[in-house]
Amino acid sequence: MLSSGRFSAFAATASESNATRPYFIAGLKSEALRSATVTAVSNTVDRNLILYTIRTGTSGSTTIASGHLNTGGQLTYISDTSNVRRVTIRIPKEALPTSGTYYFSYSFNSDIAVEYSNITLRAWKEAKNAALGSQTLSIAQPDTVTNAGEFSCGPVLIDFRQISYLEFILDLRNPTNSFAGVFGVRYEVSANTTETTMGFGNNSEQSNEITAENTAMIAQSTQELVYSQNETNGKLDQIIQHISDQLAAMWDQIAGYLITPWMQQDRDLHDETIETLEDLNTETNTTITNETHWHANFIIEGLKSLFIPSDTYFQTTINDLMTWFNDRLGFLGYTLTYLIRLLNGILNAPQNPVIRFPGIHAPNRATNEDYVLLPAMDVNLAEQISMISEGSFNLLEFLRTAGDIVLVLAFIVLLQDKLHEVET
Amino acid sequence: MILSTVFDLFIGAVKIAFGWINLPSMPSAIVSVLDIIYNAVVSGSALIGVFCHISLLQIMIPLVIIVLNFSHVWRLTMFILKKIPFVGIE
Repeated sequence: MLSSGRFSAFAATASESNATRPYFIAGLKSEALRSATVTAVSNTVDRNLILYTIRTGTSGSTTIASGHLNTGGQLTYISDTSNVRRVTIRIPKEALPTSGTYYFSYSFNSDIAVEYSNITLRAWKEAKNAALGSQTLSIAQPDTVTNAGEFSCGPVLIDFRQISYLEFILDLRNPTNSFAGVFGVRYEVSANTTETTMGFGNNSEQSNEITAENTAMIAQSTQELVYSQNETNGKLDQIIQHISDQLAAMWDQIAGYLITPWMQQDRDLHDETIETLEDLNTETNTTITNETHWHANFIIEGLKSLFIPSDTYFQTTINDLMTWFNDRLGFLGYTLTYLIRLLNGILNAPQNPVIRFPGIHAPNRATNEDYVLLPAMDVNLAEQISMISEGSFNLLEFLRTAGDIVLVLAFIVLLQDKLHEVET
Repeated sequence: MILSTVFDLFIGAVKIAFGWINLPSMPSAIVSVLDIIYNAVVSGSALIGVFCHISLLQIMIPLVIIVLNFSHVWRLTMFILKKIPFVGIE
């Protein structure tokens, strides 16, 4: 948008009034061009960031030199053969102010008197989508005053919100071997935001195209944002689920570390307690049983010892008494001795009836050796009776059973007679 | 202890009663003959084993002795029991 009537499309021509300035001489070295006669220009940016390009060819399409301005804004190109047809000066985004509206002015003090066929200021916007590349913004061309290679403009208000970089295109009317000068730009904050600014949209078609393009880009960006948001949400869900799983696993692990040993210890303690109680119970029962048995045995043994003599008492007493009687009674004691031997013989009699025959001997006074008329022998009556038994009939067992029955019946009769005797 | 004491007292009384007796011992020739007779009797007693079991006989003999002498056994038993104060038998 135009800010005032001073701005218009332009085609400047060098003025002859600048004849007092030292004109460029072919073959002059760069040191000579940096003379003190070139006055400094107003500047507020770091001019090391500003790029320049020297082009040649009929349409200025061939680049023959490029570089950055030095700190003082000096641009110098000297050649003996190349014909400079176009010079571009690019102010990159780093050298532009932050988004907003500023008073913008620029100026170039040239060392060489040249004429410009056209001076164009272009504003470029770099698309966020790299595939779209850079786009030229529609910008009104300010009125540029030119004089023998010098040109200047401003200040004018420019809205820098969408501008990525500015580019000056200087087309020379006549090709020249060299080009040199000092360039500077200046921004000043605009206090009056209502003032009409130079910017975009003076062309409604371009504005509509840009708006449609911006709308498409916004839609695409929004779609990308939505997709990215969904993707981010999905990733966040996965991260949250992962964190939740990790926390659950951590708690399980902590619980495993803390509770399992405690449970194991509790279980071990429980088992040990039960085992101890069982052992104590068993020991107590054993002790009570042993004590009960001991007391019962003590009472029983006491009563037994009170009434019943020891097992060896009778044997010892009888032997002593027999010895005493044998000593005192002499030959009369043999009666008692043989009676006791008879009783012992009966008590210790073998179960099988065996008759021991001592044999018959006759004295031989000549040799002092007895004549053996009949040798000693044992006659087993059980074997003899079994030999005369036939088949499965056991005569010995039959005789014994019958004798036992007679003995038992006789004992019963004896008991009955004794009972009658006691009753009477 | 009671029975043994009673028996000891009884044996002591017997020894006092027969202590003055001092008879000569049996001649060895007679003892030899008596041994032969005793061995013959004991050996012959094995014939009893033909007509009854010896084990039954070993049980019956003490029982028969006790039954035949029941009055004496009874009196001896009661005599001993009466000596025990806490039994309470008068």
